[in-house]
Parts: sequence; C-alpha cells; structure tokens
Amino acid sequence: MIELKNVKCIYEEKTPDAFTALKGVSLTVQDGEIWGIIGHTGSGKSTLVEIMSGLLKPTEGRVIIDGVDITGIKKPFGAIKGKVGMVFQYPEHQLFEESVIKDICFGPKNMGLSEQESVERAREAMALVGLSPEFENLSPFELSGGEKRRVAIAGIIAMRPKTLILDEPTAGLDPVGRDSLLHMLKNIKGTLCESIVLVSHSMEDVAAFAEKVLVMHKGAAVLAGDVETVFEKNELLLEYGLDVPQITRLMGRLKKCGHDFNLGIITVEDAAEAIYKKLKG
Amino acid sequence: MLRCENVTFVYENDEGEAKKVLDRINLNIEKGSFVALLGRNGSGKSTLAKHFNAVLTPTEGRVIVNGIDTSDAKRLFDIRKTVGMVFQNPDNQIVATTVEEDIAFGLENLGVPHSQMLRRIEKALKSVDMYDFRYAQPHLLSGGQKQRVAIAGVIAMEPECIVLDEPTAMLDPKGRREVMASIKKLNKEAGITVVLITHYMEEAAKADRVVVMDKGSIVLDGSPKKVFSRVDEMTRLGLDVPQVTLLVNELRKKGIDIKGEMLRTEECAEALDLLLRHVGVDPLALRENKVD
Repeated sequence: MIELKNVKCIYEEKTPDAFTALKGVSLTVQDGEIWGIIGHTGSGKSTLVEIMSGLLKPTEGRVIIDGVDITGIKKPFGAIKGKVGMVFQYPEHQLFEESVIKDICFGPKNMGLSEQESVERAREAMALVGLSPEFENLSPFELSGGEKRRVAIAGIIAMRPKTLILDEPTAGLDPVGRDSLLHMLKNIKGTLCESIVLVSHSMEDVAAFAEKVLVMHKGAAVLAGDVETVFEKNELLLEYGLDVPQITRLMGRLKKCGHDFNLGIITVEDAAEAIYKKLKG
Repeated sequence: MLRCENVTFVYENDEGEAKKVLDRINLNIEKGSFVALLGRNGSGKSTLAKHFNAVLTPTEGRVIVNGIDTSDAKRLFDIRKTVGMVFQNPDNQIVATTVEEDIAFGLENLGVPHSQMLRRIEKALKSVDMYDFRYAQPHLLSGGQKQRVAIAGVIAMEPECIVLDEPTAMLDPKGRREVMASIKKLNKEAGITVVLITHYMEEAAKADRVVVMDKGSIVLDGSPKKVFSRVDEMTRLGLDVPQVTLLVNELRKKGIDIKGEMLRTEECAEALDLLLRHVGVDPLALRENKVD
C-alpha cells in the first residue's frame, strides 16, 4: 500500500525560479488496485509518480510505503526495493546491455541477488511480458520498438515490485501493440505485481484498463474515484484540458436528448448492451 | 500534386538482407485534399511519407511532386520547398531560443529577405494561433503549443503540401485538439494539401480520404466512412475504428436496424435518438420517414 499525505513539491525552492509542482496531494493506493492518473501536460502527474516511487523527495508531506514512512530516509532505495518499480516514458531508450538477458538482470543484481537468482527472475519476467527464450542472447538494439519496450518493462518487473508504476507505457505504439501491452499488464497484475499505477494521455486506455482514476490539474488532485464516476463528469474533464472516451460522449448526448442512460458507461460493449436493452425492452 | 507510380523501396539491413518496405505503390494525392495515412507500425507508411519530399527516393518507380521527379537531385530544393514535413517529437524540431527566431531559422536558410521574413513569421504564427507567443521561449510552452510552432516553422516556408508523421502522438488531449484544429484550418482556409499519419482514428475521421497500408501495400482507400465501415477488415489489419462505428456495428450484429455509416458522435447520437424515441415502431416505416 502506498499512502501520500498532503504531499507538496516545489522545484528550486527559495530561488526566483521557484515552481510549485504539487500543492498538497493525498492519495492511497491499496494493494490490488489499478489506478490511472490523467491530467494535461504540466499538471504534476510525473512529479507525483516520481515521489510515489521514492525518486524525488516532497518539499512537505509524507510518503508511506507499506507502513514505512520513507520521507525522512536519506536514500530510500533499501526501504522501497521490492515494493515499488517505476517504468519511465519511452523506457526503451534506457536499454544499455549487450544482451536482453543481461539488461533484464541488471535490476535484480543491483538488489544484491546472486547471478543465478537474477537469471531466474529475468526468465520469469521475460515469459510474463511475452518474450520467448530465443530473445535472451539477442542484442536489445536489434529488436523492434514494441519488443524493446517489453525488455525495459521486464527489467523492472524482474525486481518483483509490489506496485508497478508506468508513465505513458502505450505512447507511440500502434493499436495492436497497445492492446497487447495492456493485456500483458493485466497478466502481470495477476501474478508478479499486486497493484499498478498507470499515467496516460489516452482516456480510452484508462477506461479500458484502470479501476480507479486520479485527475491532476495545476498541481492539485481535483477528482479521484472509480473510473465510471470520474468519466461521468464529462464537462469538468474538458475544463481540465482532458477528454472522455467517444462512447461516453455519445451517452452524454443521448441523455441530453432525454433518454435515461448511466453516464458512467465507458466501453463500447456496455453501451451496446444498454442501448439494445432499451430498444428491445 | 503528389503522384506515386509503381513505387518500390528496398533497403538492406545490417546483415545485408534486402527488405522490401514498399511494394509497387500507386497513389495520387490531389491539390488541396486532406489525406490520412493509416497502418500498423512497420506497414511502410512513414517510409512512404519520406518519399513525398525526397528524404528517400524509390528503388523502383517514380514519385512526382508538382511535375518534378524526386530522383532528380538538382531539383531537391524545389521539392523541399513544395512539401514540408512535421514529425512526432516537437522537441527535436525546435532549434532557437524564442518562437519568432525558431520560425526565422528556416527562412534564413531559404535566403528570404528580412522585410519579407517578418511578414511571413506573423502570417505563419497567426495561422496556428501562436502569434501571441512570438517572444516566448519554446521550452516553456506546452507540447501542443510546441508542435504548433513546429508546424508554423514549416508553414512559413510557404509549402503547397505538409506531411505530418504522428504529430499528436506525444500530446495530451487538449494539445491534440489544438494541433488538429490548426491542421484543419490550414487545409480549409489556406488550401494547403495535408497528408496526416496517425494512430488516432478520430483524427483520421476528420480527413477527406483515408489510405490504409499493410505490409508495404495500399489495402484500402476511400472516404473515412467507406473505410471505417469495414470494421472487421480494419480489425484484421490491426487498426482501430472510432468507438461509435464499433457501437453501430455491434448493434447491427444484435439485429438492430440502423441506416448509414457513423463516424462522429453527433450523427450517431441523432440516429440512436430517433430509434429510441420510436421503440416498437416498424423500422421500415421509420426508414421511409413515415413516422415523425
């Protein structure tokens, strides 16, 4: 469980360039939950996840990971290893080793695991992200964009973090690549990792994947709750520079025409079901 | 404006194997049109786009831009002036420390005299609604604003056609809306021919024509309605269709009779509203407008 309590973050504090990135955000990610974090560029999403993963210290407020307050710890890596794993945007740019297996082993070895344990974990991670054993000895730089991204994600999950945080994992993928990545994350959630936090600009991805949504706007958490209840607030989200899935907009329009639909409908299947029921009684 | 005649492009990878990326492409893009180019990663769409302003030239066949063969190295300058390119990441396309200087950079390279330069910069920035930011530092702008500056930089060179390769892939929803509004405006008001590569089907639905590529060939070509109505084929090609198109397809499979092809939220809402207000009425009567 990750708890953020009134977390504030000011960059370049006490200088003329001081910039408040977070203005007191509280959030609890319970074990087993899938959160989507949305917000326009500069709203504070990335700062928030960097704080959640212990990479950045908040200026004020507390970060508690599985009951341990990491705010006061100077180098929190020891306290959070195996608890939180972070996959950055375009993680494939961070691959550096000469073979896929070595690259994935880097994290586990850094945690102090033996060579053999590291390789075991790397193989487990590869299977989960859908990379067959033939990939082990290939250079990561020979792979396609989608495969590279899988290697990068495998490198993080090989550390078996309880909570996996991903910043825009589907950016730049085509629809098939995107669907298979989201499918793979669902698998990871059921096996290696207990909870997932996903930062995304794609409302459709969040609607299809997340159970809970946090909306960031100008450094504040302005909406949080179940994905259906958040997307119901169509007009508010537009104000925040966001959007709702097209299907949710359609249901909004039908509701305005006087038809009684639940505005929390966020997938095509649910919409088809609801409309069919009304038409065929 | 742009014509591909039997364009084949083969490249050799590190192991010396020849890979055919484009396979006998025939395509004619008319002046003033707005064409969306779709396809999976690796389908060849970016490679094709790079042929439009001679970044690449065909292994076989010809690409003709306003009557000029792109293989003619002496005419490279004219081709690049006619067709401008905008890429995915705005940060890689911005070079100067202020917005105005960034637009001036391209013009200086073209040797445009100073007096004309100011007029062109103003016009270009206004066309993407970024004139108020002319003295701003690019790194302080949002992604959508930066991408619009990148588009203005190309527009200032007064091309007849712009090719945009996933210009909204790295933007948030607001940035995407801003950039799409600018692209539409350039096409409708300034008459600039637009070729847009995108993975967002709602963006492609705004074009006049959709061209779908798969494994180096063109597999579908037509109006957005015509192309997106082939839901099963698009899915097989690994592409999305707009959610309302999927919904209508789903409802039809369940036996609901909805006429026409749907892409936009408004038209779908209208059609469904009509059906919902007449639950129990014979659909045939409804179709013939015999019922109010």
